[in-house]
Amino acid sequence: MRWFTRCLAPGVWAIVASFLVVMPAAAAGPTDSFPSRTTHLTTTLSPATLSTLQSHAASAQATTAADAGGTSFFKTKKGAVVIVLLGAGFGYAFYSKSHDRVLSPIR
Amino acid sequence: MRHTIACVVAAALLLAGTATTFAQTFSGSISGVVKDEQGGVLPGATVTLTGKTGTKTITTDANGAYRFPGLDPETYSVSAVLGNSFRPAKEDNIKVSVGSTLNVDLIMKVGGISEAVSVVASAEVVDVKSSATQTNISQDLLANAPITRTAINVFNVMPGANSNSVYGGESSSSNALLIDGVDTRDPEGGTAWTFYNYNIVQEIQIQGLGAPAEYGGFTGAVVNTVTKSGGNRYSGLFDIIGTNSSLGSNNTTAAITAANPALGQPAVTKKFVDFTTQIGGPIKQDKLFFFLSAQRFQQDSDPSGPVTTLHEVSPRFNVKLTWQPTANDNYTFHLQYDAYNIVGRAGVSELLATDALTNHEDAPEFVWLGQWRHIFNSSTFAEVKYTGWWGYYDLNPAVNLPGHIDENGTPSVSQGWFYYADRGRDQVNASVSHYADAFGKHELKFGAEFEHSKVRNRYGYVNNISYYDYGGQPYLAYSYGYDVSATNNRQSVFVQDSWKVGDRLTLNPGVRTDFIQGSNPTVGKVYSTTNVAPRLGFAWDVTGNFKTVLKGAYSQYYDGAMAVAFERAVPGVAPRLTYDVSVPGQKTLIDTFNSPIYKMDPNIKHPRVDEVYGALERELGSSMRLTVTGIYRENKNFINSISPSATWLPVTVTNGLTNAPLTLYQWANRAATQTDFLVTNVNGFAYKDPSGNLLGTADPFRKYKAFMAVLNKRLSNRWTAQVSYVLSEATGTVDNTSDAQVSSRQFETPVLALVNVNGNLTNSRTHEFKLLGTYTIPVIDVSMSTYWHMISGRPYTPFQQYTSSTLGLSGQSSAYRRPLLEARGMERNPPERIVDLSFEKVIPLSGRDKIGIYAQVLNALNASTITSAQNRVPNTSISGIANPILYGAPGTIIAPRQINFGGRWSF
Repeated sequence: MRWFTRCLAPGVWAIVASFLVVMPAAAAGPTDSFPSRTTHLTTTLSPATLSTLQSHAASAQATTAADAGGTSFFKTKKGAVVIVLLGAGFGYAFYSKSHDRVLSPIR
Repeated sequence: MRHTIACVVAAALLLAGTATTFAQTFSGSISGVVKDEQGGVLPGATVTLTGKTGTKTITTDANGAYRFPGLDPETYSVSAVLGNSFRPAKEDNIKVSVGSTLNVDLIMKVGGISEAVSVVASAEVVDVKSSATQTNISQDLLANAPITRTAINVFNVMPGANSNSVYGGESSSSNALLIDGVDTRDPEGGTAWTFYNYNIVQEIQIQGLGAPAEYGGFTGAVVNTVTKSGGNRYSGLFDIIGTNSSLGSNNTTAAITAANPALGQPAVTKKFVDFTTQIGGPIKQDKLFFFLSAQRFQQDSDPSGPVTTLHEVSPRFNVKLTWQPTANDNYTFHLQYDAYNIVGRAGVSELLATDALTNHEDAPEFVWLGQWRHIFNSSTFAEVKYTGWWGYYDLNPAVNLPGHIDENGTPSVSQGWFYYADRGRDQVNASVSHYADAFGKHELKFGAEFEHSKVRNRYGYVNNISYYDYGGQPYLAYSYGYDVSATNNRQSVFVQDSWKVGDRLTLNPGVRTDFIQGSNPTVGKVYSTTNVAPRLGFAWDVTGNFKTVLKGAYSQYYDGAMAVAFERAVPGVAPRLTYDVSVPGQKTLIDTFNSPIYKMDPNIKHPRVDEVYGALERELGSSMRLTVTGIYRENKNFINSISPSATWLPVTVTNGLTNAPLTLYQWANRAATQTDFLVTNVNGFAYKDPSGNLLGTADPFRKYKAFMAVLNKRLSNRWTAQVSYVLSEATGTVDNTSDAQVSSRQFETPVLALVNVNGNLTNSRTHEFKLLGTYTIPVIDVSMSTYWHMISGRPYTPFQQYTSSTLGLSGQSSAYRRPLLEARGMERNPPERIVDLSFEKVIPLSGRDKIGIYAQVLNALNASTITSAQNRVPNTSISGIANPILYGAPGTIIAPRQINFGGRWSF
């Protein structure tokens, strides 16, 4: 268990921290359409049908362009505010993890 | 970019790979039939399901039927199209809950494809297909209602659940707590171990009565929590709530203070701040999604009682990835870390603890999950999970000096001990669900679970000594400690069916088998049981119109794999040494009690509860449901420890409560038998005197009877509510507090096994009324929620501590010398009448953006309800309080009115 604490835990933390950086960067660009999947479970739709369903799905999702995915979200004013708040929240929680801990003497 | 994504996925896979898996239901399904206006079925229609992670399409079969299995709990829409001669049909706002099978029939009208007919789905008020009863708590309710938001006690809003005891079961330790399938309970005793942020919850499902065979390892209730995940659109939440002492009140009274000066000052929340930042969204549209959350919780308080400072901090992080490489495959990886810390945790009874008698708690943990769900076709899907957690919790004394306890039982100087608890669990669950038509319709589910969990407990006195003071000076001293390791292994298989025999009748048969082994690295396997738990339920649609259902079930539920059942049979406990230290500077060994390794009954049976219940549900109007339920539960196979060769001499003492003679029992042959103990199912064990005469027989039992009436009103006309009344009785000889079985050692002495032992259990609440409701005030658009509960107070029983010499128990724990002075549970604390309120003003912004400003008013009436009484006769003493606290005085009262303010931005 000491091995876990000394070696694996810091590695896990590095990965967790990296998520904070890479996830917004790795976010998908906007897609042109809702994909139709061609598996044995699914069926191929005619263009007219697909168009109708897309409009239905789009209304159900009720998303704004910026929220619908894509790195553009983080380039908007709202996205910037989100990044600042996330940074503050994660940063303070990380700080607290290190500084508020009542470390047991045997660990 | 592609490389980065690959790295992230690889890292997540690596993380998931370090852990293991699992099988309960954490998904729902939507099925239905596509018809024309005349009711004719429409084969070949294309049905499209739209959710937050994209769309799925399927073609209706020859009967016009379709099914989308294995859906995460969220809101969906379903559309259908068929050629150019029918207008598309669509249903929106279909809310899939955990374990739900929604029937959504679509009616297609003749017309052009450009005009869609769209309706908002309305779920059936009465479930006519399931014999089980369950409570689902949504994220909305969790966020808005003034209820406790942690899984370990959120189920207390359920009718029949109070103080973490559900349907008369042991509080906490009898409930299964699952987070995304991770069994987060302590593998030693079954109590809650891992906490989590309520803001990451998508939905909580509580299974109580008639639970199907896939659920096991509980004799109370199952709490299924499903956490949020990312989708195609970015969504986020920033939430903060807090308060301070100026927003608190004082609920002490002159009478309470006079009876117990330690309660003269109310519990004060000095500072409370709890914030969450989280975001979810796509990494690749329709394919890969992420969810991140960070929380920091801090509460500084001055609790009721002598302790003045209690400081809790918990930073917590969640990372979740969801990957859909194909329409039929879904992978989920989730990792949580938190570091829970406390300064000022009471190290002795809260009634007696002072700041010096507290400890520091260090409790970090990791929780992990890796899950694969594969849909073979619309009739079959499978889930495989590898889950687990690792953590420890260490308690170190605030004052690192040996502890003292005087002749009145009053501790001083320090709590005097340390405790280190290491825990871990790996679990693999796999299940296959299959829908079939044969002699009716079947929803079959088969599954297997494999658990490996570890326990290590270390305990000792500071400097390996603890003092007993007499006349203000050390008189005796003790040395004691242990380092015990134990391992649970469990293999479970189950099969269950929801068999719709006809239009009205559904049967729910099932069976579950658990193979449980307990072992220790030194002595190997010491515990082994095979537990077969049948379940049989039915649901009958009485009127055939989905408005009235009669349901019922007979079920057996076995406890989970818990090391407490056998850990006394493994080595690691040091002898308890007693020294005479009455002469300053001298330390003379006067008694050695060799802590024995208990024997295990090779034919031992695992504890279980048998349940019979029946309920009638009736739809009232379009949005209300009335349910009346009768419940009978009886626990079986109680495990405890006995001393088979011990003999006992009746001794007559004076009952300090009544001054009447009271017969107790002195250990007659302690020297010869003090290491002879057996862990077994104690029912029928005979206690004898030295001549072999029978003194009494162990009769462990616990029974629960209840009548329940529940009125549900789902949201319409701006209000929603649940009103319930429960009349119940929990009686027996084994209490239903946490870990009331084997760890109590109740049956090692007839003093605790035979004397006044039968009566009302601690969590027996005769009357229970609860109202949970929300109303949105027109014009100002402020929602107001209330949780009002009026419950009979908890029973309690006076006890008296007799001397070691009277009972021949020198060196033994004082608990063995504390018989009940009257029948169990004859006394009862005052009724609890508590009203909690919350208010929220939501300010809509653009799109889904909204800001909420909210307030919670807890204990709005500022009640000073007594929650426990001082039950030691004639009195007990508290360090720093001049006069002893008399029997019957208030021991603890609820926290005073406190107002919390919060705000959140969600999008």
